Amino acid sequence: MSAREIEKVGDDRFKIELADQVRQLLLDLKEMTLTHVVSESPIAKRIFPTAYNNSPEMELDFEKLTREPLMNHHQENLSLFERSLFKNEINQEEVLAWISALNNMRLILGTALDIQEDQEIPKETDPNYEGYLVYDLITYLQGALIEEIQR
Amino acid sequence: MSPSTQSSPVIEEISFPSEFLENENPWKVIVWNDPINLMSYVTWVLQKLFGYSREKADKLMMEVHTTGKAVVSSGDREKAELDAYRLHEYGLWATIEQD
Repeated sequence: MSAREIEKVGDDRFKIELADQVRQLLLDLKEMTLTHVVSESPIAKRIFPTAYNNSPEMELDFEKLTREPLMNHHQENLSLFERSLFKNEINQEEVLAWISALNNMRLILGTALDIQEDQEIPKETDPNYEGYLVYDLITYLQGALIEEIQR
Repeated sequence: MSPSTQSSPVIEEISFPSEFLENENPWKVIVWNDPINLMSYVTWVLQKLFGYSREKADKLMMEVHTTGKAVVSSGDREKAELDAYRLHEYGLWATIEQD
């Protein structure tokens, strides 16, 4: 897979050339991520981080104020990501939704896999081997999008 | 709107107590290191949200990466909460502390 599969081709135009199997995999990951986001599962805690470590009262107020808009924000980005997932060309707004969706997928999957700094892909015999490959793929895609949006 | 040509009224200088001035921006927003967010992503988010130069955003990102955390903004509590919320929208692990 090369970076040219994701390429800025105009002011508001980005070419996306991904195999249908990859797009289908991303759709499955989007569903998994959305499930964690709306159910506020323990693994989704990383998506809704604590703002006040030293004050439970302030944290409660902050959470009351931000939880719903934050959840809506993530849901809207995942929805726009899904609507543009099978296009061969997307605009800047859709690229931003892809970056956000991929980041949430990485946070959910990375937390589940207990990813550490400079994590290497384990041997094929590791039960999480396929999970690491998927994590590696979405890391690559997010990195390529960030590179292209800054061109 | 054009600049006024009228002379300004004389305003007496107000002197604030030093404790007040020292406490002008008492809330700071801290971004913490995590093993998942890409370094290029953190730099991009800091540039996008705060309008920082590439150089400043890179420096803050490296501080997060090497020391575990960095203060990325400060101000009154309302501003700090808004900044932390926006960082949370981008999936960065941001907390708020009072100086």
